Order: sequence, then C-alpha cells, then structure tokens
Amino acid sequence: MIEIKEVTQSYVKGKNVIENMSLKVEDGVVFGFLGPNGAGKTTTIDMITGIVKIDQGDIFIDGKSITKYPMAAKSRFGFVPDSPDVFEKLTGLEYLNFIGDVYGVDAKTRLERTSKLAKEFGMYENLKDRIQSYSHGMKQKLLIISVLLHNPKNWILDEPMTGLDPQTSHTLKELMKQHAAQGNTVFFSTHVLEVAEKICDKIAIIDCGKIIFVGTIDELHQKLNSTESLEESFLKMIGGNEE
Amino acid sequence: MNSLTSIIFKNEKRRERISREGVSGNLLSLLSFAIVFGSLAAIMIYVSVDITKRLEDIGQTYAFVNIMLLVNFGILFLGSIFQSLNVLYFSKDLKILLRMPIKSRDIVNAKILKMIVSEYEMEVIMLAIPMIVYGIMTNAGYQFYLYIPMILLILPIIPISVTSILLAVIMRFTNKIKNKSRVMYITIIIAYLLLNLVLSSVSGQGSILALFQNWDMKADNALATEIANQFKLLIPIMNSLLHYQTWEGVRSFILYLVASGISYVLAITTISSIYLKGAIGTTVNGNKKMAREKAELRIEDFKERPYQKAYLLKEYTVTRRSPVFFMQCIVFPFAFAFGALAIALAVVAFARGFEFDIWEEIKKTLGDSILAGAFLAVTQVFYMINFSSIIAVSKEKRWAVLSKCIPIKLSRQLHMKLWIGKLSSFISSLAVVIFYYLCTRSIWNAIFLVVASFGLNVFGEKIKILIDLRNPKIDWDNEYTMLKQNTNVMYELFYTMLVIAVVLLFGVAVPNVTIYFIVMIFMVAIINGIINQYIYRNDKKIFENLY
Repeated sequence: MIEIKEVTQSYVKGKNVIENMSLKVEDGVVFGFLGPNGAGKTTTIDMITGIVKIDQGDIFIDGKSITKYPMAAKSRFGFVPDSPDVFEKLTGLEYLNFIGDVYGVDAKTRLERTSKLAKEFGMYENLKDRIQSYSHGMKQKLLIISVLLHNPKNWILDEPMTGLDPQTSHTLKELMKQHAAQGNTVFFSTHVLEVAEKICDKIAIIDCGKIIFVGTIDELHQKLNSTESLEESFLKMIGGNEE
Repeated sequence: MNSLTSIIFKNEKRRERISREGVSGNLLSLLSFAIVFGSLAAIMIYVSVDITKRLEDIGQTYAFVNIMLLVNFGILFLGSIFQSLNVLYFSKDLKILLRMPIKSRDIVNAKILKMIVSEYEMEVIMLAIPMIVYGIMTNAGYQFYLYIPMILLILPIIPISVTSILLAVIMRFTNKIKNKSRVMYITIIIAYLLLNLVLSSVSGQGSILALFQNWDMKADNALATEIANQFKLLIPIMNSLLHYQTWEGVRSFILYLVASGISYVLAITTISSIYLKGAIGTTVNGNKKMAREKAELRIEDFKERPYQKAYLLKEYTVTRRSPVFFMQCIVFPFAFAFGALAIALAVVAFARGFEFDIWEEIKKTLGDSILAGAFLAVTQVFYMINFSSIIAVSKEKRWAVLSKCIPIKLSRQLHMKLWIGKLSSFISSLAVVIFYYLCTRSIWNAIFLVVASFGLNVFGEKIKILIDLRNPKIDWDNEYTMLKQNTNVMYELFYTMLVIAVVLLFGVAVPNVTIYFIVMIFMVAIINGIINQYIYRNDKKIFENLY
C-alpha cells in the first residue's frame, strides 16, 4: 500500500510543483497515474521513491514513512524510472547480480527468476553483453527484470511502456495484473490512456500539481456524464481544470 | 556549419543544472568560483615569480618562457588524445548528429573548434598568468603583452589537430572491435606510441634527459637555447615571445600561425574523409551473437555476495571499464608518484657522482618537522591529481539518482564510493614515504607519515565527494569532457592548496618531529570523526542536489 499524505513540494521557493497532495493506493489494485506533461507525475514518483525531498507532508510504503524510515520503505518497493539509465559498463547479468546482492536474493531464486523473466522479455541471449550495447527498449526490459528479481510487494513504474515492443508490453501488462491479483500494489504513470483503460483498477488524474480525480474509470465517466472513451473523458477533465 | 558549432557550444554551456536556490544560489556559485579561480591565479603568480627570480639568479631568464610553453604544449598533447577520442568518437550527441543531413566535415569542424576553445580556460591559468608575471618582472614592452592572447588562441590548434588526425586513422581500424572499452584502450596506446614517433621525428630528440646533459650551465640563457634544440616544433612560438621587439618575433609568429592553419585544414580534410567509418562503428549497438552455450545461464553465473562487497565490485568494474576514469583515477596517480620517486632517486644518485649528498642537504636546509610537513605536502600534491572521489557520483551518470532508491543508507553508499580513491591515494603516498624513509632513515617517522598522510587523504576523499554531491555533473556527453570541464575539480585544487599550507605552517610551528606527527595524526583522527558524524546525520541533505 502506498499512502501520500498532504504532500507539498517545490523546486524553487514560492512555486509549488505539487500542492497539498493526498492519495491512497490500496493493496490488490493496479493504479494508473495520469496527467499531461509537466503535471507533476514524475515529481510525485520521485518523492514516493525517496529521490526528491518532501517539503511538507509524508509518504508511507506499507505504513513505513519514506522520510523517517527510508531503508524500511525502500526495501518494500521496486522502481522502474522513465529513462532507463543503468551502468553501461556492466553486463546485464552483472547488474542483476548487483541488485540481487543489494536485496538479498539467493542464487537459486536469481537463476529461476532471471531465466524465466529474461525468456519472457526476449533478453535471455543478451544478458552477458555489456549494457552499453543495449537498445533503449532492452535497457527498459533489464530494469523491469531487475525489479521483478527481488519481487517487492509494491511496484512503482514511471512510464513503463515507453520503448517496449508490443509483445513485451503485453507481457508486462499481464505481470502487473497478476501481481495486483496476488494482493500487491502496482502504481504506474502513463501517457498511454488505452493502457490505463485496459489494466487499471483505479486511476488518479493530476494536473498542475493537484489531484483532480481519483476513482475507477466508470466513476470518471459518471462524474462527467460521459459514455465516451477514457481519452475523451481525460481531455474533458484536463480541459475543465484549465478553465 | 555555423549553426551546428553554435548549438554544440550552447549545449555545453547550458548543461549546468538549474540551481534549486535560484538567483542567490547562482550568485553564491559564481562567488565561490571566483574565489577558487583567484586562489589558483595567486598560486600561479607566486610560483611564476619564484621561478623567474631563480632563473634570473643563474642567468637563464629566457628559459622561463620556453619552460612554460613546453609545459603547456605537453599538457595539450597528452590531454588531446583523451579529448579527441571522446569528443570525436564517443560523444553522446553523435547518435543524433550522424543521423541528420549534416556533412561529416561540418561535424568534425564544430567538434575540433569545441576542443580548441575548451583549452582556453586552462591556458589562462597555466600560460597567460605566468607570461604576464614574467613580462612585468623583466620590464617587457607592450608588444610582449600583445603576443600573449594571440599565442593563447593558436597554441592548442597543432596539438589537437595532430592527435585528432592520428586518432581518426587508428579508429578507422580499431572500431571494428565490438568491445568499446577495448577500442578505447587500444586506440589510446597506439595513439601515444604514434604521437611519440611523430613528435620525435619533427622535434629533435624531445628528451628532458638530453636537455640536462647538453645544457651548458655557464653560458647565459643556454637553457632556453637547449630547450628549443630539444623541442624544435616550439621554436617559432618561443621566438615570437623572446624576440617580440624585432621582426624575428613577427616572422616567427606568422610561421607558427601558418603552421597551425595548415594543420587545422589538414585535420578537417583528413578526418572528414574517414570520419564516418570510424564514428558510425562507435554508435552502433554492437550486440554480439553469442554461442548458445555461452548465453545459457547457470547457477555459477549467480554468485551471492554481501551487499558491501557487491557495491565495491560495481565501483571497481565501472571504473576499470571506462578508460578515461581508469587512467585518471588509478594509472596516472600511481605512475606519477612512482615516476617522481624514480626521478628523485636518480637525481640523488646523479648528485652522489659529484660527491653531493642531497639527503644531508635536505635535512640541513629544512628542520625535522618542516621536512615532515614538506613530505606530507608532497603526498597531497600527488593526491590532488587523483580524481577518483571528485567524480565518484558524477561518473555514474543518471544511475546515481537511482542509487537513492535502493535500501542502502546513503551515508554508507557515500563511504563505499570512496574506496578506489582511498586505495589509489594510499599507494601513491607510499612513493613519498619510501623517499622520506631513505632521507631520514627513521622507520617510526616513516610509519607516522603513512598514517598521517592516509588520514589526511581519507578526510580529503570525503571533502571531494561532498563537493561532487553539492553540484553533481550527471548529464554528460563523454567521460573526458565530464572530467575536463568539471568545475568541481577547481574546488578540489583549492582544498588541497589549503591543506598544504596548513601542514607546512604546522611544521614551522611545532619543531619536534615526533610531536608534529602525533598531533597531526590526532587532529586528522578528530576531523575524520567529525566529518563522519556530519555525513551520517545529514546524508539525505547531502544527496539532495542529486535528482
């Protein structure tokens, strides 16, 4: 479970990027975080994962505060960033071993999970190559595998479908649904509304640093008295907020 | 072409990340930069005055000009191998530029110009300031000062053009190797060998040893003449400064200008004709088609390690596989320290041939604790050229940001990032300790020196990484540019100068060498304890600018 409590964040004094945000992501759901460019999606994710300091408020991962107990909170999630920057000089396997050591995954489990995931993502034959030889999509896949390797309860993914081929994208979506179905949490940001429509149990829409909607997609349609697609409803919501 | 050049320049200048503190933060950065630059300039002024006076005393005043030109030329040639390789072939922007309808000639031109201009900052400190000091001390005419900026502008052209041509030719063949780190290592080694051949064929013997053997110490300004004889390539530019009042100066300058122009045009023409074949290879994702059995994952591929060991191994592997980092962080500090030790021992042996005991002379000239302070200061000089910790965070590029998400306390990660710097500075300080032991023959004092220098270095490593974390440079195009244009290095130099001043002054203040070392070790232990506490308690704040 991820809980954001009255969080405010500003990079420059007097100019809030996130303003008094509160959000609760329950266990057992795939939660989509939607919003236009520059709305504050990545900043929110950066705060949840401890990359950016929180000016006011707090964030809890399974009840552990990221500000007060960062180690306990960090060991409870796995994070895939929007740009797959990994150590280019390591091989994919070396990177996975590093992550395995950091999260204390035993060798047998590493072998099993890596083999299975690498085959599913079409990376099996590339793991012994240097990461610098990987394409953008392959780096993205490696980061996803590295998160799934230690199988955290909470998955946090920032634009995870970017750069993935259709087959991998499908596999990832299935894995996200399976993970949530097992009582875990999947929180991800996306621009691709079709993805959100297909797999999200709940969504939040953020604009100009404020949450303007939280609920199911049906609830969004009801709120707007709309029977159209999520895309239409999303545009109405954002447009309404601008007005 | 002009627009491409201007975009490359603007991109470089605007890469600095926006400060969170806004205008006041930028002003503070500007002020601290001015203080650091001012301090370095002050040091260069002091050194230049001292050397000029000493050369005047022995009737070799002109040699100052030749020595400074030689030093700058040497730095430019050695540095331009790394720079050319990284800027021309391993720069991130190539992936964009090579896919655009831009002629390779324009790309080469813009990149070579960028390299030339990037040398000017270093030249202002290393060349312009010493020359102005020399001019003032020798009452040089106004023409001398007119030559300085002109020489500053054209001096890097020949070194960069020549090394870039050599690298382009080598890269034409070596880029076929799939392993890009190997390509860099092989190219650098071949380039150094070829450069040595080219320079010795056009520049006399080019030997410092021959210089000392042939130098007639009794003749006025014979050292300047001998430097010119040994390094003929520099004769025109040396003459333009030494004969600034006559037509000989003008003629020599024009000669060097023409040579620079020719080398530039030659570089652009030659490199553009073979550039694409070399550059495209470096940007292609060289996936090896491995044999199935090699690709097969086995349980042996997954070794469990304690996370500390895994972290240290990761630090070492990333450094070892990045030739520029490996050279600057491990090879150069080590080679420089032990090279200096070898030269120092050779000089001692050489002096013994004339029945002159340098050991005794050093001990007589410097009191015991001042001698200890001087040796401790020398360890700091070697330590100054070790860039391991000043780039410990920045070298990881944007992964450095991800390191904040893993469940390892930030203060612990900070300490683990320092081990390469600690180890390499310890090894380089051993060279100084060996010389100190041979000089004093006191095993206890040598042990004290090891402990004191190691303690100081460990403290310095922490200061360096704090500097890096205050303004991390994680968005870089290539390894060399990140190192060379990293303004954090200036702060490191400033810090080291401060430490050197403290250890020397302390040596003057405490005459007894044993007390000197004991107090020094005690102080170093205390400041290390204080900084450890600071890091432990403020790690989140320390890592705040990394995002």
